[in-house]
Amino acid sequence: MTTERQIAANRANAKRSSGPKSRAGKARASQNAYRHGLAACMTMDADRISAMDALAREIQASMRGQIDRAGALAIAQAELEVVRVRAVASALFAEMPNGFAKDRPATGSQGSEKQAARRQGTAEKPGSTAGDLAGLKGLDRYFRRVHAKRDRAVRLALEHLSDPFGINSQ
Amino acid sequence: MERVKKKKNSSASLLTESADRLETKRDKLRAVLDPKNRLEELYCDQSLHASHAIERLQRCALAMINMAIPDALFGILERLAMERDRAVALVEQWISGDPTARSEVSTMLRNHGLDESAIEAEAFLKCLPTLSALTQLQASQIAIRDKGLSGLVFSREVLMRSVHSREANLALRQTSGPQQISDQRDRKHDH
Repeated sequence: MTTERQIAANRANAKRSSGPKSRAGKARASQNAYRHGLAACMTMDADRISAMDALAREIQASMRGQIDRAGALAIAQAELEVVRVRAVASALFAEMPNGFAKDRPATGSQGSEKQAARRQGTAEKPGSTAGDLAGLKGLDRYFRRVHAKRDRAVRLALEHLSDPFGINSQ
Repeated sequence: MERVKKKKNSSASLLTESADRLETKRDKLRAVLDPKNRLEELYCDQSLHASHAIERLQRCALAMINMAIPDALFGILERLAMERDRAVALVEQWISGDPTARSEVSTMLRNHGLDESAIEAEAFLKCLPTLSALTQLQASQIAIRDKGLSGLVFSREVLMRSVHSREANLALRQTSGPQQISDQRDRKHDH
């Protein structure tokens, strides 16, 4: 059971370190958990809207009107999300050579220090190969999510084509 | 934060890659798959990027093994009771391709019932966690590539079915008029 002395010590410690006080510090700390922003919904700024619109038009034009505007827009939006995840994955790949250089096993005593660091889990830090690989692995679920979203949009858009007269629809 | 900003501003291809090569690969893949519309092109691009990522991962794995080889050789020499300084010098000479060092290492390995594949095996063992992570990433990229191809097949099939049913509808209209189609629809609703 927690003693009175421990509770008092916890309170004293909490008073000494209870997060940033300044506005700048708070703004910075609010970004501590930020990794790549893929978990958040994609913000639709003017550039993205125009890109989505252009892609939707291309899809519609190439399908000779077999897909309606709403369907094409849904596919285009999902495709932009796919492209966004792909860009983050590429950037992570681009950082991996730095990790290779840091992780390069050295001969002799340096090598064993590196292994010891790996055992302690310090090699999982961002910027190390293991850290970047973990980051890439973490992108898997975003890849799955955005691809599934786009495939759903495609299926919905093409649904009426597979049964144009509604004969087989429930 | 700087890392994230750098990430978002960096280009899609690596310093060691050329954008032209990716374009050539895209052209080749499109020549094979022959996408008929923009939708099929999206699926084509999905497969292209996934196979590009698979190649990158394969290169990474190769680089990891190559980088682990000096340490692996050093470990073997140390286990064969070679003096530390001598082992470091021999590894450096061996890496630089010195034929004397190469033959010395070969002889030493042979004397202990080993050959140069022991160095590779040791290197594999040294970077096994990284290699298995790379293999997992490759597997997921292979799944993405295959899904791209199956998506292309799906959309093509749907479009073909739609064309066929349109043609069938036209033929039906020519032979018996539009009444039959509405009859068919009514029968479905009755069920």
